[in-house]
Amino acid sequence: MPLFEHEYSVVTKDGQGKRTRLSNQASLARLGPVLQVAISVTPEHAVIMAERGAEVPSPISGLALIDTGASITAVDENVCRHLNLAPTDSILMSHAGGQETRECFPVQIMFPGTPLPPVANPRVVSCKLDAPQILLLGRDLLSLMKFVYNGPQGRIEIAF
Amino acid sequence: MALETEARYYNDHRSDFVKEHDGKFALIKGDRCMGFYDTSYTAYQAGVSQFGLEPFMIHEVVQEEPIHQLPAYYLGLTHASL
Repeated sequence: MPLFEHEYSVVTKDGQGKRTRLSNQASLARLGPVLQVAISVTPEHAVIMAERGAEVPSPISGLALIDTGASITAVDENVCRHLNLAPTDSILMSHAGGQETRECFPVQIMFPGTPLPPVANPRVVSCKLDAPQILLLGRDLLSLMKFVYNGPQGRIEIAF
Repeated sequence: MALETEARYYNDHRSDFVKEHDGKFALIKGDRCMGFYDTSYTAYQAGVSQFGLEPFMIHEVVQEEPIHQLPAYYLGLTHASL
């Protein structure tokens, strides 16, 4: 089972421009459990485009926040637009003002610089996230993984 | 919203689908159900092999539609700093 371990380290600047390195513990508390991801079309989608001689859209890189409060994984709508994806479903989302329907799209999530294998998911909900964040990794994908949030050591571990 | 025809078809047939295929994933194109699959990914693979990159719907067959939650997103907390 491939394992990814990461210790967080944030450098901040004060008013005089002096750089200060936060502890691992404070760094993880500030950033949250984020990791680098790249989002692409699914392998099946890429094969069809290649068969047609069409150019496969390049993956989009950014940050994913591991969000245990999210019941479903969400991807930034600009990524879906860039990859020119067709929706595969629409689902109900709840929010403070009630409910809304949002579209889902098929994507492949890659974890560059880690031994974690790519995950293709045909139903990731689209919403507007703020760069550099492009993904909220929700409990649907976390159900495939072992995830350890080690606050005192400012470290996360993911295995799947 | 895309997949309106598919969503309407699913809603019209939901009770029948639940009786026979509860917990499966339905692959729907237009006003036809093309099959039921154990996972959303196998349904997706079947959809791509039949329809290529045309839109089709993959929907989990359940008695009551789940209402999903993204509280950090809806509360604008995805960039919160402590």
